[in-house]
Amino acid sequence: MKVDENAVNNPVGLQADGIPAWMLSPSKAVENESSAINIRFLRNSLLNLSKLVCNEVFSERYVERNGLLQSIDPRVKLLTALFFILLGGLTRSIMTLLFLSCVASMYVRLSELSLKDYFKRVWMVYPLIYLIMSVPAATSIFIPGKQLLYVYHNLDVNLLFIRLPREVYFSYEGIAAVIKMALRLGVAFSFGYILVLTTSWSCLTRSLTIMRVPLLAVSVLNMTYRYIYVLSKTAMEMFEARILRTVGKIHNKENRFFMAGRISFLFIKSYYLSDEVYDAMRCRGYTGEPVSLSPFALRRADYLWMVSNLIITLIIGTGEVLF
Amino acid sequence: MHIPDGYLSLETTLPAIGVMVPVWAAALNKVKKVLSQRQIPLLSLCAAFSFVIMMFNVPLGESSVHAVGAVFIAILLGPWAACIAVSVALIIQALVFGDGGILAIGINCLNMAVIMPFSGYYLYRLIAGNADVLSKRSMAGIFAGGYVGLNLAALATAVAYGIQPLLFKAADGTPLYGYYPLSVSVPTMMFEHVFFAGPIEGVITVTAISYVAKFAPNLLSRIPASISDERSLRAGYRSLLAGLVILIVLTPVGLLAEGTAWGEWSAEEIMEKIGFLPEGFQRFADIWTALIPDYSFPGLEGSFYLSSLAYIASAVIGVLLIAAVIYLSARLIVKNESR
Amino acid sequence: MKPGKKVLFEFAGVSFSYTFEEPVLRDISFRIYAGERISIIGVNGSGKSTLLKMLAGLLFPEKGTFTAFGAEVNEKSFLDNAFSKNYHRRVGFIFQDADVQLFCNTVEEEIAFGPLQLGLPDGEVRQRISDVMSMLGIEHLRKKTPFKLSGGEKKKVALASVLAMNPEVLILDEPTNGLDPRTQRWLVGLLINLNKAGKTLITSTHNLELVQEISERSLLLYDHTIAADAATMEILTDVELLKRVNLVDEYYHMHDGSRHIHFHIHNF
Repeated sequence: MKVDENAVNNPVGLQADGIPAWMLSPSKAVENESSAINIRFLRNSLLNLSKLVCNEVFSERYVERNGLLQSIDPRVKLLTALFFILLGGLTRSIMTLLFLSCVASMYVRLSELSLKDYFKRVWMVYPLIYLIMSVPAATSIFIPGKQLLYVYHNLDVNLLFIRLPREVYFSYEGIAAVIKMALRLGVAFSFGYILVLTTSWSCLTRSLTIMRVPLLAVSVLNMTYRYIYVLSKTAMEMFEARILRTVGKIHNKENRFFMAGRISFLFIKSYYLSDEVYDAMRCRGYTGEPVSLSPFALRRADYLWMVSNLIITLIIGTGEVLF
Repeated sequence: MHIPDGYLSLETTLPAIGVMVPVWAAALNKVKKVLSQRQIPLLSLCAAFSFVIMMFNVPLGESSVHAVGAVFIAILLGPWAACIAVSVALIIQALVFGDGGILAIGINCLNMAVIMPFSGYYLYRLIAGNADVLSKRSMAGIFAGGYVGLNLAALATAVAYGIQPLLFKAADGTPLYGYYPLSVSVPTMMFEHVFFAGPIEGVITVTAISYVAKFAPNLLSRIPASISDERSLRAGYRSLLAGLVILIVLTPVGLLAEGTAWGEWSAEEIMEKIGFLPEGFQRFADIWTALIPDYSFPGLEGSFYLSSLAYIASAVIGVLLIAAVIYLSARLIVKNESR
Repeated sequence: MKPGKKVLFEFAGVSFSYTFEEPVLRDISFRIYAGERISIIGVNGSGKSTLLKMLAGLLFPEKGTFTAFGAEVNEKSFLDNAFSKNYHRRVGFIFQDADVQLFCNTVEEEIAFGPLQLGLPDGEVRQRISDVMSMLGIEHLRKKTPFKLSGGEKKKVALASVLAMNPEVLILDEPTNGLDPRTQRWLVGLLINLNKAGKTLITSTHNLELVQEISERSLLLYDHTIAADAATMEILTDVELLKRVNLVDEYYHMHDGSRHIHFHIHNF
């Protein structure tokens, strides 16, 4: 067997393969208190990022399915969605907003999207949050009017130097306003949700050209999507590595330095990556102009769709006009 | 700080988009001059970067805040590039997460992609002057830029929320859109940002820039400040100012337009405005009236409960009608597709 | 295939360094002939990638001259868009890292990018896409997102997007990195076929098993300069040379001059 000269001459106590002695025996257990709280922000960041990467929109899971909206031209979809969102923003009638929600739900169902997910993600998140936040707004403090439900009345109290209002009640107008708000939120979000889940990102960005968005902006939007994927994976790896290496308590200040470090690192990486992408683009003949394969063509299905939406709008519209 | 759809009136969100369009066009032009061919990959990567760091939670005591990073990008690449990067990130956030409404994209970009990076950048330049990046003066400037930038954006957001009940009311005074007035929205938003999110953004921006200065100093010198000549500065801002003027002018116009909101005119009002009633509209309205006059059934008026029943019944019929139209067209469309 | 005597590329006394750093290439001189199969070998950091990027027209010599297709090439030449497009049409480059090279959102768009940049009409572009996809067996990936594919599929898409431009020269930087053995075999077979069809093949690798199949001639880079420029088998059988440039350790050997090289541990 060959004698390793290193082992003979090295005073640190290296073995034949050059492995230091402390690595050859098991490490000691750590006695500090758990650092669960201190790395919560790391875990949260990691959670956000992984939610992103696994996000339904990014996975484009529903784009391939044979549902109703997947068969419609993306430009038509875009304009229709914008139209309904605008309608929701204009109207003052709760009825119209409910109708629009029904329309959205039906489109969800017919495009083979899960209704349960739709309700959970669209209605149970922001509309619900805003509804809760707006409870005070529904009272007479903000929106006086027809009394519906009293919180208290005939109170004559001074809190510090603020005179409490004599009576506080939930007003009819207040509740209506709050409900309308939540509905508007939900309706707007719904149509965006449907649009984005049934259209691939490339088609979506390409369809913006119908609104006279320049191809340059479309190309930037298109490419950004792709590199969000790369950068978020990089960021996830950074956080995972840090979490795995974290033992014991760390001060918040150190954590902030760490975050700032990650931010700057990610920027530097983005910058150099853009250089490489630019090289790759140059190798394929890129000299500054964006290019794209010819866009979409309208088919009979699209016209049918537009007509049916028009009819729906008319129904809603006249109903509102009369009411 | 992302404003969703529904809370702001269309008179707020649509002009905001109108303002942003020339700003975006100017930004693309400016960046093109500086970056020329490299703009597509560089802008895309910076937008991706901006998007991803908004997912980061920065520790703050027991909880955390989100970094925005608009001033960070502005200091490194110039405010115009920052405008595009943050705008793209905001647009994608609105579409993918519903973080911020679609119609509200204009106003969100105005706050976070214009007000924040520009004010932050110019404050930094004002304070730091030509001092070396790692000097105390420059650090103070960066912190101030980040802090003030974020707070100005927060203020703009609070104002946007707060003026809603002021300007957009129904005839009886009920707010049509947002209902929390300035006296509520401003203190709430500003408290959170002046004392908590603001300092964090400032600290993070300073630290991150100093890291870049230490580890990749060539990045700082390689990218020229995109505003070096006063002329282009003024030209760029002219479009921005023009947009803001339009916005300010339109708002009181919205106030003056009393009566029914745009689009909700009854037949009589349309006749007044257009001079005649579109044929089809009249016929259709008559048919509809014949079927279900005024969303209630004849003979049922008077009693509160009965008329609300009628209301519900009309709703149900309306929904069934709409559903029928959708299903019918869906059948036809899908049949078309499966060839 | 017997290479003709037509000189495609010539390096004469070329040196290059990235700013503020040590020179990456020092005094490099060689020629590449049309239809050749040549490998650039050396340890990591020996300057292989830089050399390839110069051949691809991404980097330019600081000292010395680089001549391609009979004319000298430098940074200024590429300022002309038409020249740039033509050069990149004739010289295809496959990057080591697929993530960098695949920047579109669907495979179809990715393959279309090059031909579209060359100004080909839509109909012809679509034809080329279909042809190249069926040639590489990736028709089923048409609407997929390139950056979510497996390593092998990514490589195929990268190849497709370059081949769609119909280059005369194919430069590949560490082509078999990260590929499973089966895909590696497929790739080698494809490259040899492309060479038989007339394309010049330039690969860089530190995988000595690959080198003998993929090239007849090799350039050995060591210490930022050319340590050897000879027939591939000649270099691979010169064990002293390989040891000197740190490509192999003391246990490397070939069995009876056979075409298989493998590593195994002798008794301790």
